[in-house]
Amino acid sequence: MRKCFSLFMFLCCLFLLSACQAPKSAGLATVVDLADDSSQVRFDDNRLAASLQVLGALTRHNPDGFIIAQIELQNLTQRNLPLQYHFSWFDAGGMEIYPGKRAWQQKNLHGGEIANLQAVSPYPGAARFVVYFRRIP
Amino acid sequence: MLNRCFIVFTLTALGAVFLTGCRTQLGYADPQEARILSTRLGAYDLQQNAIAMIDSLLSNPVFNRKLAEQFPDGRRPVISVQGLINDTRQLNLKLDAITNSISTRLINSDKFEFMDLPANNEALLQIIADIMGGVGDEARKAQLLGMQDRPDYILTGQVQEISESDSRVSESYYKLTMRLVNLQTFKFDWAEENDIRKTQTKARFGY
Repeated sequence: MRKCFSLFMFLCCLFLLSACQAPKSAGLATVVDLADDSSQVRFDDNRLAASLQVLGALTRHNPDGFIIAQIELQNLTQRNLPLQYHFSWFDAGGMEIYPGKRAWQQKNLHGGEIANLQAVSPYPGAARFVVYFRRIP
Repeated sequence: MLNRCFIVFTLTALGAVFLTGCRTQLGYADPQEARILSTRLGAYDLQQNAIAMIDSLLSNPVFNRKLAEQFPDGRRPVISVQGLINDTRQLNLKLDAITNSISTRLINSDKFEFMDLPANNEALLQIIADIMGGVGDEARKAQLLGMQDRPDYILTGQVQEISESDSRVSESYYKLTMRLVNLQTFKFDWAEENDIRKTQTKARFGY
């Protein structure tokens, strides 16, 4: 009887703590350096990393200096994966161009879907960009 | 005795969690974060529309080719943004938020010069409205071309809504269409549309 009561109380505590905690906002980040076209992916959330794979990054330089970036993604699960993503652009000195001015965009990836996400640099002088992915809270 | 202490301790801990963790919270939220609160057109939807339009305007290859043909000397074209037409059921929608976002990013992109269209410039606005509506074409065009202080392009647009629902599912579809009118040729040099579909499904059980 005492064990049952303890277990019940423990579950109550777990439920309360999980309900009241701040939402999880970690995700993935892909850094692409335009100078050598190198890219690296940083994982901050292993659960999202198991559901989402970054297949590659492409960039195109327009004649007027603007850069178009494309990230290829695959949903590794069989279920819909609602995501939000955010492009941040940096100049050659590493300073972010117009920080915090671009909203997170949403994308609903169907099960197994491969999708391309595109963005344009806010200014012609971009040298590097970072794409962040995370689940919609 | 031990059992009683354990119960008191657990109840105290639960009470503390209730009082601290689950109280109503006040704080700052990320204004750029994805948010969905209802099927109505919200601030986040307007932000998404603005991003789609600006990205397209800055990178569209057809428009870039037309720009290079019209401005071979590399001069930056002067652009003005006209208020969007609200063709939704939400009459209090602040569509100026989209046009202001678009204007700001276009100015900062260094691709365009920006000219504000003051509300009291009724002559210019009326001429543009007449031309777009096909009224007095040639005379109006000549009058506009004769104006010294006028933009090269004017950005116009419209937001439309289609809603449908049944007993469980309500769905709203919003389409933003924008067009860039060349005030030299009176043709559309660029057009883009962005769709947003929002759904709300009521639970079979619960609330």
